[in-house]
Amino acid sequence: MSNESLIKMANQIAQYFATEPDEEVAVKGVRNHMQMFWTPGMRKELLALQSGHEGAQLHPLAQVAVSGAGWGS
Amino acid sequence: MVQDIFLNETAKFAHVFLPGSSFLEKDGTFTNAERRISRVRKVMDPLGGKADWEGTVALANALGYPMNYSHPSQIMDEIASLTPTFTNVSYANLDQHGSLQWPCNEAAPNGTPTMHIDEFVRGKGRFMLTGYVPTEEKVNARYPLLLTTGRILSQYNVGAQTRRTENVAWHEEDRLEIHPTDAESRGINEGDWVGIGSRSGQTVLRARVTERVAPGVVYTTFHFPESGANVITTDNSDWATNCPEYKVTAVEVSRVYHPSEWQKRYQAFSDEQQRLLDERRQARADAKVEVRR
Repeated sequence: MSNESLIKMANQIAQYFATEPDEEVAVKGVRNHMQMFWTPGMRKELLALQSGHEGAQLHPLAQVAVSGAGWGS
Repeated sequence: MVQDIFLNETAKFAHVFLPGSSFLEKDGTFTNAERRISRVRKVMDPLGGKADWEGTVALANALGYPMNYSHPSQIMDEIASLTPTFTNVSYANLDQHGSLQWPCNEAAPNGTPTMHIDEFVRGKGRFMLTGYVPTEEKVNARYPLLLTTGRILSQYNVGAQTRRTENVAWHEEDRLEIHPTDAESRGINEGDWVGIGSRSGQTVLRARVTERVAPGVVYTTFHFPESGANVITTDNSDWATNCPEYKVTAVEVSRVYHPSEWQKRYQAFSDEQQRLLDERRQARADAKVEVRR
């Protein structure tokens, strides 16, 4: 999947959960969706994007959800 | 590989086509949206030679995975042995009750007409805040109209079944509906061929000038494959369900005199597939004559 598509999908998920007042719940919502419905390969690719310079294009909620997920270990 | 009771549009892309059997030609069950499992009984032998389950068994055996079912009831018994909500489902039990709603197991031997009576599995339920998220698809000077696509009662989706019926008397082609104001400013009259272009692609349909649509909006159905309605719609979809955004595409419309490039390619491809099919049918007919001699 292209980097552009992955970032677009991650940002759409983040945009949806951004209306949740409790940030911790929102971050969990984004992360849960990716863990339940994305393939491990997609999660790995997104983590690599987030760590690299393209991570700047990610919605702040997606940034937090991805960086604290422990997908790299 | 395609299996269907009709040579549908997708079949044109298939290397192998397997005949399907209709609900009148097979034994089995249907399960509807209220979890109700009902028996289906065949009234005639399958015209294609095999009921769908027999085709699956033959395919599995040919691919090296032995399946030895001799009746669909044995397949249901296997489902019941593996699925906790189906434990008590069997053809004998279905025949006795007429139909059964799963969960149907030791806790509910006759099925479960209503689920979640006091609470859901997660408790009382969960409400979510959902903010309005506008589409990224926007009109501009180049694409000033919004296209929305939809269905009409007399045809079903791309019409693999309904286009073969007298329903075509009600709906014989997909037309582009356009408001008189938008039509006039573009010099478009009723019945003119018009090109519809979006950021994704182009197609050509005949215009229907009508006040059924609002100024700024154009509409078409997608019941005929040669219309190519989804050549112009975008790849946008909903993040949670992947439901495509077929209702909002920015387009421009103008009078044209030729089909679009996509339509020319589609027609050539479709004609070629039909020619290959006719050749194969003819070859089989010739072979049969040869055998009789």
